[in-house]
Amino acid sequence: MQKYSDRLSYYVMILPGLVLLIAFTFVPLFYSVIAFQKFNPALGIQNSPWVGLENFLYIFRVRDAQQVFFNTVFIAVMKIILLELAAITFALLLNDLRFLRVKRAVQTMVYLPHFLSWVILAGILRTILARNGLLNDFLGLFGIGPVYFLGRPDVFPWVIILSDVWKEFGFEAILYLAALTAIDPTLYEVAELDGANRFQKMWYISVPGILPTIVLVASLSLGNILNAGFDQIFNLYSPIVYSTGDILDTYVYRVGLIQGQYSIGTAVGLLKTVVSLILIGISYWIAGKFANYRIF
Amino acid sequence: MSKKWIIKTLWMLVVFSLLLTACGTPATPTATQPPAEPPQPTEAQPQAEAPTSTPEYQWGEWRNTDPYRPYDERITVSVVKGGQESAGTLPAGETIENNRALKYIEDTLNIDVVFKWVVTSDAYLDKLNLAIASQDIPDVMIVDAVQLQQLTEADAIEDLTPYIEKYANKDILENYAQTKGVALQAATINGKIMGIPNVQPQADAPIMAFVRKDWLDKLGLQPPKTVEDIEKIARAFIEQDPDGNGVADTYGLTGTMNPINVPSNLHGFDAFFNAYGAFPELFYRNSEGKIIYGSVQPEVKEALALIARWYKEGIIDPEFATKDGGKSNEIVVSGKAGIMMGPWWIPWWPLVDSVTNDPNADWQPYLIQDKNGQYTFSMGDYTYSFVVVRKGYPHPEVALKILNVQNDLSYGLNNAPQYYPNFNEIWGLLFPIPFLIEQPYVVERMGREYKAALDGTLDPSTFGDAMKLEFEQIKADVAAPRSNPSNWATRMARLDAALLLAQGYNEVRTDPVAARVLANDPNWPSLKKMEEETFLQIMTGARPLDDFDKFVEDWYKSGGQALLDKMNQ
Amino acid sequence: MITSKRLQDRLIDGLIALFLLTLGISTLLPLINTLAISLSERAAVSAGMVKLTPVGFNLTAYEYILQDMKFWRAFGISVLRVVLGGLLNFTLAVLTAFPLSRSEKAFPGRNIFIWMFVFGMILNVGIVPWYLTIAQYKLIDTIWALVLPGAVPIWNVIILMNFFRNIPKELDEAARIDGASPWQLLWHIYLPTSLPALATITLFSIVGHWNSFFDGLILMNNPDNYPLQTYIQQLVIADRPILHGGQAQLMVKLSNATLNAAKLFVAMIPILIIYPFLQRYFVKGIMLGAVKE
Repeated sequence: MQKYSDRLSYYVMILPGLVLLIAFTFVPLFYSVIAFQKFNPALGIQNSPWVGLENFLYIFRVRDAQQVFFNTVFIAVMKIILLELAAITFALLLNDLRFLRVKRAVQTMVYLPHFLSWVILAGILRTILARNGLLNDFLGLFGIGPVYFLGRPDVFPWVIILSDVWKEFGFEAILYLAALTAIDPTLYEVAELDGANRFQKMWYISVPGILPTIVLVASLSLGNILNAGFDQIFNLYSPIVYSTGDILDTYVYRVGLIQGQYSIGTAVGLLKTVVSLILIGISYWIAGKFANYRIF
Repeated sequence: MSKKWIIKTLWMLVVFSLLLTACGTPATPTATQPPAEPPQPTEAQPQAEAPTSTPEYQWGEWRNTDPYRPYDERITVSVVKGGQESAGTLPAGETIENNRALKYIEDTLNIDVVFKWVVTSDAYLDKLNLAIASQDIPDVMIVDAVQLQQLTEADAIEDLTPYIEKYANKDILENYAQTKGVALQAATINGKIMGIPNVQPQADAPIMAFVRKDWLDKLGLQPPKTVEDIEKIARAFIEQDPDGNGVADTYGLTGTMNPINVPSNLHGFDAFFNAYGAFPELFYRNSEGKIIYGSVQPEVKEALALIARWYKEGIIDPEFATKDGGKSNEIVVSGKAGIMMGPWWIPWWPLVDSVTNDPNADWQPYLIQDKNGQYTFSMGDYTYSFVVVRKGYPHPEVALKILNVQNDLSYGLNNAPQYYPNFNEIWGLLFPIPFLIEQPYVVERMGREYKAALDGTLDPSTFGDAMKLEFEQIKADVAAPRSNPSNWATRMARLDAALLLAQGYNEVRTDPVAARVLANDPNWPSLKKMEEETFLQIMTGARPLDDFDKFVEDWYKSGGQALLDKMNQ
Repeated sequence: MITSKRLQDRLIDGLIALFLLTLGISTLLPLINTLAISLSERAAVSAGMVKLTPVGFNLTAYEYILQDMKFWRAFGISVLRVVLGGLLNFTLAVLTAFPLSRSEKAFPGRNIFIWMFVFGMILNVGIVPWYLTIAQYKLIDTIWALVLPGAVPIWNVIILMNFFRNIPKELDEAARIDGASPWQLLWHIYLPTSLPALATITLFSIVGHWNSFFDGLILMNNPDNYPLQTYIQQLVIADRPILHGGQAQLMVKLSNATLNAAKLFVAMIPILIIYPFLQRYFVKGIMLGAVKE
């Protein structure tokens, strides 16, 4: 008897979560069928005319979509590479630091930006990156600039990539720091006896020690290469840098919601959803196979 | 078919809503107080609580005619609005939701106006699109041509055909007549009038240069006539410290991320293009009668070359391409710029704030000649926005009735009270439907009449109450310039700037045939984006000038040629 | 030889410390610059003279903010959404994670449910259908639009589920013998033993709710309903002018730049207050997410 009442309890417990999951994730998935319609909100799904693949053909025809796709992948991939490089370097250096107080202080400082929203940080960046802002002053010391950071299409993607590195490198390093502390300290002692200097120790012991973590992070990142950071770009871009800074998510927002081309926006979004799903599937598979990672 | 969003219309409406909320075009204030007085603290509060005690209204027989008849039972009408950011300019104690003008409208018609939401001007269109998407629309709202089409197809708005003739007052009908039917035609879909069209004063389109005469005099410069003069003055304003603070902190030319925008543009470069015989963003007929697209003509390249050179030489605000109007207004208001490009009404906003901050700021309007010594400007359409009524709303005529009373308040007709000496600056905030149905050339006509009255060739007592008040403001400012910023703004806009336009100018405008084709073209948004990007990048030197030729080629290839073919069929 | 090597080692230690400190400080420079601007006078700001210390120190911007009802209204909405959203996240995470941490035998369907949730997590539905759905539910312009769509924090559910599964089975069985129901089990044993994990996921929720602006922007038609981040986004990023000639006296000291900087800073304060906790728990939390079996 107890078994059945137990089961009932479990179903009752999971019910609210399940209902919300269906209401806010699976129902919108159903709504995605408007990608195959010429959707008119006042007519609703039932009465809007069906157009088959017309919206998808349109996407592949206009030049915006290709540009936006390229921008997305470029920014996302560069972010992943530079962010991980910065985080790994930082973690290795920090791990090597013997002054505990300095270590603490540095950690406290570099983690902070991670917790601030892109709205706040973009507000700050707009000031810093202005013509008479802090960064141009600094570059001016070396006779560079002033650079029009937010208004130059060739510079803008790098502003996005590097400001993301700035925000996240400290926090991203936590993973690697944890992996470093798990390395057997006797390895270092043995190496020292063999006369290895600190950089040799880093290269031959620390780096191999965190290699599984690197593989794990790299494979999980695969699922993110269509996410170039909506919040960040949305708060920093403007028409002059659309050619290099407009990404899938900003494009879908502008075209799909603001310009009212709901079906086009949904079609682009649906493509992204499907591709992302496949990528995440692959990334979990790789992570499981090569880094022994399971999310549950 | 559904992707008929037109960015052009969007920007028109953005500027339009800016215009509505921030300044005023048409309306002429009549006041119960002497014009020079500052806004009076309102006594609206007690009135609002005792709506029955309204003896100050002088309603006449007209109130029993169809355009004005009050409802037997008080009805409710919901609306939405932009302009939230300017609410602070209303007299103390008044708000967008509760002010004396609004109350007069409500009492006259026996209605309650409810605001579903009030947003900033720039956000209005975005919000409206989201509201339409969420099927949560107000009873009455202002939409653009694309939305009109979409709402009509969806059968979401009332057919207004039976109501226009019956419920619009004679002034509004007369103004429609002056457009020779173009306005109502634009609102007609499948033979039905689906929206109440606006009629935009044509004076809003020409972009003129407002220049600080006090700075010119200080540096010993002559007022500008040509593009070259503007360059010379801008350079001097940057280099010769016109504000005399010993710091090189003054700007030459301001600009925004929308350097070209028809039909009206603050800080716009449109006039420079026009001076080179270029009419970007317009689909107009050439001398052979064929419709061509202004943005891909060779003259545009010349104008782009000029602006790119100016940018490179530091004459234009180096960060203009990432600024919007508000940010650039700040430069002007804080006294850091001596030239502002804009339409005739900018003395009401934002220049009035500049004069408030610095009474020496002597802004004067000048028109820029083209290469042949003539004045030619890109013009907007007569009509580009529409008031629509939600399908199923039981009193569709109420929209027209509100517009009637608003018109009375603007012009002091039918004994409508005028509470506000700075009415021109705030009318868009006061009215529930901030919308213009004007005579197309009202600005020029009024300017001429004020001039004649000043010269003594016209008796000002023949003016209506509204114009009388403005004339008092103008006279006061002529006697003591800039002693009162509101008086100054009225004089500068209504007299000096309007008279420049009244001298006459050539007009280039988008062909009505082209406008209809555009509204249904799926490629247009993409073409528009390509154009905006390319022009901004050429202007700022991010791309070489010769990329213009490639842009032209791409434009024709990516759907532009097809578009023109359709228009020229 | 040995001493010189040790000296060299020390030197390198010092250099690394110096480098990392410089890095840490320069990470914070932008924030310091913003603070300095918010405390400076108008002219110095517009001339770009303010770097890391205030020029013409004054508190006008903060005085203005104190009286700015719109700012505090938005602030209040953010607090409300953090409290409401945080509570919902917490309750639903616990209620969902607990049954999912049972075995398929004890809770038939567990495996299907868990895949549904994981699928829901990695599925990133496009913004348009998402928006239309929420509009369909008539949630636009209500606080529920900000808290319900993300009410089930699936990632947190998984963290918590993994945590629950690592709780020793002996505790479980002992309680069972005493006849405890699943509810009692959850309340008396699982919750008390999972406090660090619960603190972590709650902090996740709080930071997430406080920082999000986009849902506020599109799901609130009426700007009076904007949460703080959306309000700030509209002011600072979209750059809607807020000062007018009518406030001329104020404009002598204040510009939009100083005011915006002050607003940015005030919006940061709640995060700064909980930052010590964040640092303590997040560092653990990020590890919790990746349980290896």
